[in-house]
Amino acid sequence: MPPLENVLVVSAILFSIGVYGVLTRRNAVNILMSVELMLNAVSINMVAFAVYGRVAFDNTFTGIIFAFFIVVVAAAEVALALGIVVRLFRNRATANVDEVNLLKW
Amino acid sequence: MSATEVVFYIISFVMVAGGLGVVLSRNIVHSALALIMSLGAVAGIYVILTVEFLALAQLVVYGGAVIMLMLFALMLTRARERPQALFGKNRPVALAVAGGLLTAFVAGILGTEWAQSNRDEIEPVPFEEIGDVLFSVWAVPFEVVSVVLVIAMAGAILLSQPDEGER
Amino acid sequence: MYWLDHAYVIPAIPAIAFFVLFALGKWLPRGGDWLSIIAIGTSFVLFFFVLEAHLDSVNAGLGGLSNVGFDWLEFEGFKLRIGFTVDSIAVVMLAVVTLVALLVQVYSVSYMRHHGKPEPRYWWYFAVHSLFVAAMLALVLADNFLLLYVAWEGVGLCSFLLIGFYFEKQSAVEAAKKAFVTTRLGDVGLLIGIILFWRATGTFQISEVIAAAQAGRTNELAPVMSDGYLTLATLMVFLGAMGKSAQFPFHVWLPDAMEGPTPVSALIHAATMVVAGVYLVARLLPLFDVTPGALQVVTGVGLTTALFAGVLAVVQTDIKRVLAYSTVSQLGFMFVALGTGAVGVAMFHLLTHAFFKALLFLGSGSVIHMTGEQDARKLGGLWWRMPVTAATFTIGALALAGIPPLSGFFSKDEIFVVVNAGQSDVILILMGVAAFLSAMYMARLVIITFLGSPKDLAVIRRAREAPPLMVAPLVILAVLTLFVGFFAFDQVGDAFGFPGGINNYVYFPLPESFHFDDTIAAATGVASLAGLGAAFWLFWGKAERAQRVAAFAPKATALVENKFYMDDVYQAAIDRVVLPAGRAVAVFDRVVVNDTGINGPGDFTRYGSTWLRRHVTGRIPDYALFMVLGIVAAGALGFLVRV
Repeated sequence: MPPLENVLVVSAILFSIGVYGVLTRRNAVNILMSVELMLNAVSINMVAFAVYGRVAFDNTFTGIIFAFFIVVVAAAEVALALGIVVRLFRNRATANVDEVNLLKW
Repeated sequence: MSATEVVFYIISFVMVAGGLGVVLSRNIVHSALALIMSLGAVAGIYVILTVEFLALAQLVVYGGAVIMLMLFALMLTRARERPQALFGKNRPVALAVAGGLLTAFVAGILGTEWAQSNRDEIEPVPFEEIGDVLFSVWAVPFEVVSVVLVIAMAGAILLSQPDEGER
Repeated sequence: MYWLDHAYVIPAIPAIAFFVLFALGKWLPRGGDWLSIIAIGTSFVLFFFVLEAHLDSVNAGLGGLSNVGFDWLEFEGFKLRIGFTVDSIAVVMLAVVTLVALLVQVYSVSYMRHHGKPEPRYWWYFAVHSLFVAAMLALVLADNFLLLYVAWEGVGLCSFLLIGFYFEKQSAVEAAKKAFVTTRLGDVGLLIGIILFWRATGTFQISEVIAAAQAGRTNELAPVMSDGYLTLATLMVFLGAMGKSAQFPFHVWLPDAMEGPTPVSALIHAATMVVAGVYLVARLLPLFDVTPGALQVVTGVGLTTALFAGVLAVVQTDIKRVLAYSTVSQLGFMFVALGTGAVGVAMFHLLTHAFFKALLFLGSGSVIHMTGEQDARKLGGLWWRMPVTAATFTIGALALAGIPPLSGFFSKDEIFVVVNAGQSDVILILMGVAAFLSAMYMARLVIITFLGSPKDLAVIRRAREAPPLMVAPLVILAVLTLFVGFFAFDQVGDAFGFPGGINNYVYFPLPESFHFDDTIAAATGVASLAGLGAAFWLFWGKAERAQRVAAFAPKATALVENKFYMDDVYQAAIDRVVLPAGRAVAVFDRVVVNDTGINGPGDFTRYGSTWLRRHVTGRIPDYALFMVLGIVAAGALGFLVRV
């Protein structure tokens, strides 16, 4: 098994890539994909802690359960978010977040 | 370095490559496919970490449903027909922020004495006990999550209603 | 004893008159001059009651002192008291102020009219007059430094208002400003002195301050103030006296103050306000006595001023300026007397000087009013056209010159007696020179103005005797000038109820009787006559000899005629030092206090909000960036706090 730090570093790399994607990409769906990346990175982190420390910390599965719930909630969230994106496209004929700025000062 | 470790590194390489593909690709559909690859690799990592059930759930939900949704959304918003600017103006800032974050995380991770054991072998996760725990200790969040799903469904239906005046 | 304790009514009545005139003066018939005159007349009458009460008290052996008042404001370490004290010095001053003020106001009724029509702002003139009288009387009766200071400023204010009465004339405005600013310098000194005394003694009461100063020096108590501190405080107070009494180098405002109406000059700048400094030093003389070096300073200043002003008076061409410099010089005489420690002598000279100087000013006012001309070079030969004015004026001039048996002779002689007894011979001789000069310039003035042949025929045709309301005060003052001198003699004083003569009456700290020293009297008489003779020799007729003397030493003549360039020096100092400093402070005020301090937060808010507003772009990627940055910042903060 890889050392715990390595797993955590891998998850951190994925998370940073996700952050970069959220800040940079212009298509709304693309941004959602980056958010998925971040969520999954966090999941890996949680599961790693739960698995590696299970014996030392009284047999607790909290991280794994957490990852479950992340999966479920992420799915629900994506469903709704994509619904909004499609709706947005219907109204403004664009999925580019640069052009959705009616709330500008 | 044991075989498990090697496999782990290969899978994580795939995962990272997929992630880079998501954020760097010029073609949106390629981004989506890279996402599938990345999420699949995550499932692989779960297998290495002996939580196979989670890996299955990951593959089914993400790979089966979420990606489908995204591809549908791409289709409905005519992403391929209209090549729009994919990259924004604040790439240097974003790069700096992401890089900074990564540096901070790695420094934190490597600098901390983790209490968790650092052994070559870990004991596999007993899945039956997870089931017990899920429906006993975590019963309430479980129910709440099912409510969340209902709300998501209702929301999705609501969002798909036609506008006033639309046929 | 009633009036002794209620002497404060005397200043109160003119004060009330002021308020009434201030509010209603414009609409009162005749501008309210009758109200003002009634008020001052009442005060004058009341003075006699106070005098009687005072003499009764003295004769009964009670000392004749009185002190009434109430505490107006009191908190830790600070007490504001409105108190009035009556002693012999105060009584003398009351006499002078009320009598001269009354005569001047009666005179003004006629002077401030041209062909029967009153001047514009006629009512305001009388209102300020009343205020001035009230303030001056309060000053004289005050028993504590604070009330004194308030009244001091009050008379300064009235002086300013009256000098600048003809404020349409730029020169009058400038003169008023100059008077106020110059006396202000002195007043700052006075205030510093008052504060220094308060810091050391914790009280503003004059009697207590004097007692504190004497502690350790004339009695066995422990000293309250160190020598240096005492000297500093006393000299600061003397600065105030110097400013108000126009002593060198603060004398520059008095000649310019002649821009005001002539009755104002007579009252304020001859008889009353300018003697406030003399009065202050007289009242504080016990303090000056125990302060090392103070009396020497007083003598020095007085002597310098007497000579300086005397020299300048010889070359002035404006009638009133001659009299102004003469006033300055005579005040110097009074300070010399005070510096020798002789309060009685100084007060006596103050009294006689008030009468004959007021007489001289009112006489000159009569000339100015009837001829329309102030420049002596255009006058001459007025004796036959204005006989009463000329005669009374001459009486006043002779008194000033010190010709016996006029009052001026006696008071000046007294000064010489004490100077001879108490000061060095050098000072005595210099005073003699000053006396010589005073005789000379007064004679010159009389010669140029009234004697000889007229220099300007148009002027001479206009001149005729002044109206009765102007002439009557002249005559009254002339009579006083003739006879007040005899009060110096013990017998006369006794007869009038002043035990021991006036010098015994105004007694502090040295009781003295009138000394008639034959040698001194003869010497001063000779000096005066020599001055008269010199004036006739130089200035009679066409004054060729004077012009030859002037041509003999042109640079000296120019120096004197330009007042030793003192005004220019002051102006240069103001231009180079005061104004640039003021501008620097103004820049600081505008840039630092206003723009940065006060406008700063406002501007900062405005520009800051504009800058912040630009961040609300409505674009999702920007918001995402801000979110991430915020989370990073929060994380860093949490990390730092934990660590």
